[in-house]
Amino acid sequence: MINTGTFKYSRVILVFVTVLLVFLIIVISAIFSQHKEMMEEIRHDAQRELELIGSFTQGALLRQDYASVETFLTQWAHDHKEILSLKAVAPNGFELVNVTRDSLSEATFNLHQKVSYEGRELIDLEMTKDMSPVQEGMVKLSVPLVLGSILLVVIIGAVLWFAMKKLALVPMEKELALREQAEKKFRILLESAPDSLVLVNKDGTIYMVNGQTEVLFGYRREELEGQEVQLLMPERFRERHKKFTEQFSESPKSRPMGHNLELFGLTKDGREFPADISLSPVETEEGSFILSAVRDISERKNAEEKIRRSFHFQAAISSILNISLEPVQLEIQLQRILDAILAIPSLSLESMGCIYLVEEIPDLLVMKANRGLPDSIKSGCSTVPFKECLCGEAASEGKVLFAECTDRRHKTEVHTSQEKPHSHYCVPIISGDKTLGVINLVVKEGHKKSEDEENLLKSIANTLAVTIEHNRSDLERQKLQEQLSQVDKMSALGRLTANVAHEIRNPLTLIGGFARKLNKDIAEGTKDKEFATIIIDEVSRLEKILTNVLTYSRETPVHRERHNIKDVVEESLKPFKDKFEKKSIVIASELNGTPEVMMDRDQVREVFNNILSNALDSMADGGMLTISCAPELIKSRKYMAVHFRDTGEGSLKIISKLFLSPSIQRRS
Amino acid sequence: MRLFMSKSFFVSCLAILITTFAFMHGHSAHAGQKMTLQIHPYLPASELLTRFAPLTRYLSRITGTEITCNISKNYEEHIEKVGKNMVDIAYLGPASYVKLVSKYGTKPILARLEVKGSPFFKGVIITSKSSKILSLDDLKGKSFAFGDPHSTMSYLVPLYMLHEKGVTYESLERHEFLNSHKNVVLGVLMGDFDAGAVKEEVYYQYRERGLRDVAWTPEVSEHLFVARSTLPQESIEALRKALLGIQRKDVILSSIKQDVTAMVPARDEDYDNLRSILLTLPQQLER
Repeated sequence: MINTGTFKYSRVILVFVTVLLVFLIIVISAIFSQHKEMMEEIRHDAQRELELIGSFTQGALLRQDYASVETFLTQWAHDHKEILSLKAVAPNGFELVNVTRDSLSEATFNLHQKVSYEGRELIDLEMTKDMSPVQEGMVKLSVPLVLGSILLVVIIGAVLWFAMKKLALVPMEKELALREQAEKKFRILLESAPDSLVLVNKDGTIYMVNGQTEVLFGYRREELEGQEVQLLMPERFRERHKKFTEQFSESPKSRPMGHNLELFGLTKDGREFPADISLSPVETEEGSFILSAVRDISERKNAEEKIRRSFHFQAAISSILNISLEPVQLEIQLQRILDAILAIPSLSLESMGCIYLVEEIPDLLVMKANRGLPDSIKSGCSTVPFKECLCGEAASEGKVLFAECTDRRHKTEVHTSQEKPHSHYCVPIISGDKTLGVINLVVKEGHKKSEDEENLLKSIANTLAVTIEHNRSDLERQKLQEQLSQVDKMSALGRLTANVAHEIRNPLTLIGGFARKLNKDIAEGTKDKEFATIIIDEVSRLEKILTNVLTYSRETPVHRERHNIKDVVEESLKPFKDKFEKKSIVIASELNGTPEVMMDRDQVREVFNNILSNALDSMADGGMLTISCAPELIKSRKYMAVHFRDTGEGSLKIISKLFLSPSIQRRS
Repeated sequence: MRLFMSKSFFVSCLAILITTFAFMHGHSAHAGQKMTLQIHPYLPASELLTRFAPLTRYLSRITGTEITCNISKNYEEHIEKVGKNMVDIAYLGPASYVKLVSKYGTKPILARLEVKGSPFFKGVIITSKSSKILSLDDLKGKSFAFGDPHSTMSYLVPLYMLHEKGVTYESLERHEFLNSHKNVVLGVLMGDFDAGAVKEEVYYQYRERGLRDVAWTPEVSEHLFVARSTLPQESIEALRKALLGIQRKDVILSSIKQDVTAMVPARDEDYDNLRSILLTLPQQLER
């Protein structure tokens, strides 16, 4: 099924010829080896021959039958053509026999035999033998043998080739063609699979992969085939995987891999990805294999994670909303909301964080709730001005800020060295264009910020903003109710006072009238005169008080008309002109070009009268009163503000602002 | 009747066949009479058979008699066989002949060898070239090699010469019988013996290999062929005629010995000088 390839005759022929050549070489080697052995045997025989000659010679010499020795050796040398030389030399140097045959042969060998008896040297035998006839004979024998071997090999080869071709190669070729087709189908199937398919043998060696594997893992298939399959998984799984492979090979059956385990693949560039892997045993003629189908489930995992996080986020927001609806103090709500945020599992939080709010002092964050923070941070970071540290930065920018603790913007003087490395989420709490506070969350080291996290935290911050605004508007409402109640009380009191003042005014007028009349009649310097004067002054003071009380408590309708501010100011200054001159107070008016605005002229004049009166009182020793006017934006509405600056006690400044809108509001 | 007839016919045929066979056998024995040529063992038997093979074939052809060549085991046996007429033809050395006649009486002499044109030969007492022996007197205290005790030139005549010079066995360091002339020359050449006695032919053969002559023997009539004394005269004559009829320098002759040039007639008197020498060595003649 696998690795069939195209059947190539050339390879088979090459192998076949190689085998025949090897066989031929072996045969020829055997022949030459035999030759060598024969040469050795011949040499050995020659030695034995010389020994026998020696034995005979010894016997003859001991019998002093020299002639027999001479005759025998000479005859022997003559009879044996291969003996080139045979010498029998007596101890005295006499050559008893010296038969030498001329020869040009170089294939000779010498033998030597000393014949002695009981230590007495009898004769020395030397024999030179010519091997060339033997060699020639062997060559003559070898040539037909070698040629015969070649012929035999050729004949056997031809017969075997035709037999093999008919009996084996042709059926094999058909079989291979079938296998090739099957292989092609298998390949197509393999390559068309949407998953990465990895065929592994029992030892865990990758045998084959498809194109999806190249795409998924980033390897070329040549790089993978022959490698261990553990290459495709993170290091921490490799050792365990080898055992699993052995277990699977012992009882192979199709099943998903890593039941109840999260599996990961490892790409060539070192990226890990979650994977679904299913295993199938594959039995082939080449042995048992394991087919692994690997699918990258990163997207699914991400989607699941998103869903999970979304669930957590929704649950958190729901919890925060519930808390915000609880009728408790804002601080308690903030603490509970902080706890709810820290309990969100998907945020990799360190169970540490705090919530800052902006209170009376603008641009200053005040820690209102915290959890898990060290005391040093609780005290050191209890207030954070805008633009300072991470939280101040987030508050001033109005953007979510994610930074590691080593970020340069992070003020570290209040942090201790024992703190683990971490990161921060600083989320501004914004309502409209106003920053209400900041949520500061400590995140585990290595956590990467994500858009959905930011969105969640923004949602929480928005919820928190609503909660804070709601809470604050409740307080405002309570204050207003209290103020309204106070106004009602004051109104009733005013009405009561007016009635009382009205009732007192007539008798007081009578008292004052009678007192002034009596005063005229009382002589100067007397005690009565002094008493009468006191009565008159006190009555005058009471009349003024009553006049003011009656003026304050009087409810008059508002008559709005377009008037120039400068005109109104100058009208108000007229009654005070003499008084200011007496007290050497200089009036500096900077009201040229002032526009006309809608106002209740009488009420504005009364306000101006009061301001000017106060200015007169405050500058008893003289000074300067500067009056100016400038436009001002308040809550996107344009107002005209009139500024009164004096140089009196405490450099008191009185400011009056007149609005272009139909209503006139006094500010001081 | 018919059976009787057939039986008598069968017996008659058998009798005829037996008679015919007996006649043929008797004729064959006469015509194919075998003779023996006995050679004394002065050389190894195989070499002697080779040397005398041409002569044997020649005599067989000439005489029409199948002649077999035999080699005696030793000189005593040879003399005995010849003396007791146990062989038809014999080849003898001169000393053996003298001993034969002395012991068994004369035998018909067929012919003697002529070597290099002379029917006489002589022996020589030899030593190695490097030897300090210059005369027979110097042999005293030296080792000496003789050939066969029956050999004319390797023992008997040299012994006579030594005796003449007063060199006895006792005055020699030792002496050995090496059975052949070649053994003597080779024994001297190999240094096993200081001196030895051989016939001149062998001396010349080996002289160049390191021999030197010390003394020469007197000439003695050459080797000879004798016939069985009981052999019919016509056979003796036929054999003598055959031997003497061999062409000079025929291969038959040179085969026996390289330098043999012819077969020449011989008489018993031709061996008298040897006989006189041997008489001085009575113990030798008795042996």
